[in-house]
Amino acid sequence: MTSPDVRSDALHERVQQAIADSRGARRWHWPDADFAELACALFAHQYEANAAYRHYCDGHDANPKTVVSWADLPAVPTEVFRSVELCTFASADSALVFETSGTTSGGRGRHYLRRSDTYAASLAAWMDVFLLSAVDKPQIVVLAPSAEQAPSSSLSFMLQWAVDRRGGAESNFYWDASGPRLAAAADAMRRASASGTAVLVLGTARALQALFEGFVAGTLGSPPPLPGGSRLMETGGFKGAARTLSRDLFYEGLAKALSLPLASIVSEYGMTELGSQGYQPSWLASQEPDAARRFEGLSEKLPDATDGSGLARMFVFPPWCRVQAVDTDTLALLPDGQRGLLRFWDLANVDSITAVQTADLGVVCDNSVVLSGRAPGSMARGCSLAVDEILSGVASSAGESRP
Amino acid sequence: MTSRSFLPGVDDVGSDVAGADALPDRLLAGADVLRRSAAALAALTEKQRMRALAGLALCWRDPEDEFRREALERLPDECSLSPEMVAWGIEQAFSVVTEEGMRHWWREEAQGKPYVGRSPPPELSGHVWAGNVFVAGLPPVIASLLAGSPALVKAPDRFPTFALLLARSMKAHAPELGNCLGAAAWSRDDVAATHTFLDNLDLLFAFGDDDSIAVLEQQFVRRIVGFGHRYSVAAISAASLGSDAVLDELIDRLAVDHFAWDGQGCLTPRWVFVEGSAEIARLLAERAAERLPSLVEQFPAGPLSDEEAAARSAWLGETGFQGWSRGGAGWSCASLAGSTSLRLVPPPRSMCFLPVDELGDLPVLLDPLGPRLQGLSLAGSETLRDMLAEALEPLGLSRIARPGELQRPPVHWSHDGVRILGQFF
Repeated sequence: MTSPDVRSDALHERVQQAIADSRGARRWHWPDADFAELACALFAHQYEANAAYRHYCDGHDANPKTVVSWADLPAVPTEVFRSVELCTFASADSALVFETSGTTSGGRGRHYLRRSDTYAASLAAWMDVFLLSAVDKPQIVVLAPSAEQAPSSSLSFMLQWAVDRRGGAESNFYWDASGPRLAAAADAMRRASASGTAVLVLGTARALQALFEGFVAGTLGSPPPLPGGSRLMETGGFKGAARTLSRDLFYEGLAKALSLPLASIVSEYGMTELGSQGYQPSWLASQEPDAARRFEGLSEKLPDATDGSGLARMFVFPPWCRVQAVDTDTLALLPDGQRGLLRFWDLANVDSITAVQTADLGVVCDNSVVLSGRAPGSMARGCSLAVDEILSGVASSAGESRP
Repeated sequence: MTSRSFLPGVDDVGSDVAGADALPDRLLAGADVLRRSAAALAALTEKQRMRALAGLALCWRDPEDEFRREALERLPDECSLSPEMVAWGIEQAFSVVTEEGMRHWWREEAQGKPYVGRSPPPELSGHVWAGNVFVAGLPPVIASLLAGSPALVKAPDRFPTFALLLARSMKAHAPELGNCLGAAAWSRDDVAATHTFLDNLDLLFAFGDDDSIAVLEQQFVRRIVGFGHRYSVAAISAASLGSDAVLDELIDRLAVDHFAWDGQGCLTPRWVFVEGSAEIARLLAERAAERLPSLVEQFPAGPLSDEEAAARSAWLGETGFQGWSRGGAGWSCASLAGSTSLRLVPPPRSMCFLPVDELGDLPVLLDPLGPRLQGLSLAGSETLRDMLAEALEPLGLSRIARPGELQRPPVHWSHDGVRILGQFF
């Protein structure tokens, strides 16, 4: 009988090869049979090597013999990552452990990774398409913690990878214990502006908002006009920020301040529990006519997929990470175009859980998502006592999500 | 109906006068009218008042009644409940407002007792309602009128309909009681209206969360009776388990307790404690999963909010890992291996079976939740019932009923342990 680690290694190789093949062929979709075959192989591995997940699947009468479609994989809500070690190996042997930023009732959710290379392969393949394809080695300015500063942050891992593998000279993180180093970041942008070096700004929405407000208030000096080819990636959303702007207004203000085309501002969607990410395709569409046509067609199918300027603002996921909405009541899969809770089947999750049920709501079409909110903790409307609040403080929030 | 208030003598005497005034002014005028009606109401015998109130209840149960029809039209959307649930709630609430029921209530809490307060009886009682279990505040209003005290209801801004319809129907269907009931809906942010309301009351009944009641206790200098948020449980003794038919009937009855008010009332059981093993708890959960889809038709679910949907999905996942779970449209159920799993609080319309060695362990198990227990739906012997009633009383228990009956309390039920009619004497 093959040991779980040997089986895991073989699956990692298969997933990485499939991602590489897909990348080389510039494929947006995989045939259902190809995806199902690999998804079911991952499921068999996870079922065999993760006793907790096996128990869960058995309770749903699901096992490698009964599951023949990727859609039938028992999905695990992100909340469960807080209470159960969802891995096919001893968690102490993890190469990486990503933690959610949640601080409420259920504690932090943890995503244990036995190998980091598949995670890196997945993020690289999609980030290259949506942020890095046209310009080699931009100067990357990061307004978020580095991997050293935040070793349990999946976002920091991703940003560190970008700086290390795709960043040009003077790429750096502008962050310390007190938060973003806005003045230093602004100075770095000015130097790049003066030298004509394209800049890729990567940051959390809150840090970028602080940067923008610093420019508006004049505390950071005048905003530098960034050279052609510069771009900006925002992640993390605005929830919890002291002051919030609408995303459209924020993008417009930031683009104007930095002399960026609006299409050069891209939002990323990711969460600790997933090994893959989604990106808005506005910058890609501005660079490649074929891509522009593709996303124009997709925008026609998805409600609210464009912003006020007509730019595509849906999140596009790679073919190795499928997404569907499920009915909020029955949890049954919904056809494209209907709003529901988002469920992902992420083949980059080799040793954890492939099918992940989120608390995010949205509309899906062609593996792209228009988000329509995140469900916060439940609040009873009647006179029934919120017992969970007595037992464990304020009701929980969902796992970390970056848009 | 677009008005936010029905204050007899104010809102029904000419809209040009009433509509021109701000709510605090109208509340002041309405309170004055109600107070001036107190003597006439108190002059009626209790039998006359009972007869009038029972007559009103019969009207509300009449499918042709205009107020009932308007309630059925408006309340589903307002309260996010299905029309069937609203109809059930109205029927449940008014079917117990009978002359016989009120006579019993009177004998238990009022007979031979003198009135207390500044004048016998209190000239005006106030009622702060909360939430979408729209009839929860009805018994104190009935008690007030039965005792001879006019009543003024403050309905939540989001849930005005039932209070206003009740006040209008009182005027129309029980004119012999005079100008005895007024109602208005406003937000707690309208401080002036709230102050005017509180300043004109002799006695206040308030429903809401603990924080809201605490604020009212600080604002209201006279006597206040608060009804906070509570929880309930169900319990099944080992001796109550029997054949498949017995189990099915038991589950069907428990489903009524769980589905009523979409599982949001203080009498909704949160957990079903099963005396026996984890295997028995799972067996019951599996049977529930078979029966609940059809039982949902009796109590269709209201629309699920995004928050509720996400919480339910998470709960089904977590219980699936720790035990067994299933869910469908309008229902979910689970069994967990140990009763230490109170941490996983079920979402509304969910049956969660937890094994316990003995039901006598319940007081210890529930002790961490404090004195917030409201009701117990019990499948067990009279002896067990008596034992648990005594043992759970320190935790706040105010009602024990057979499965299927928990959410049908009599009009004289001592909600939160409060002898409501007795508050007037």
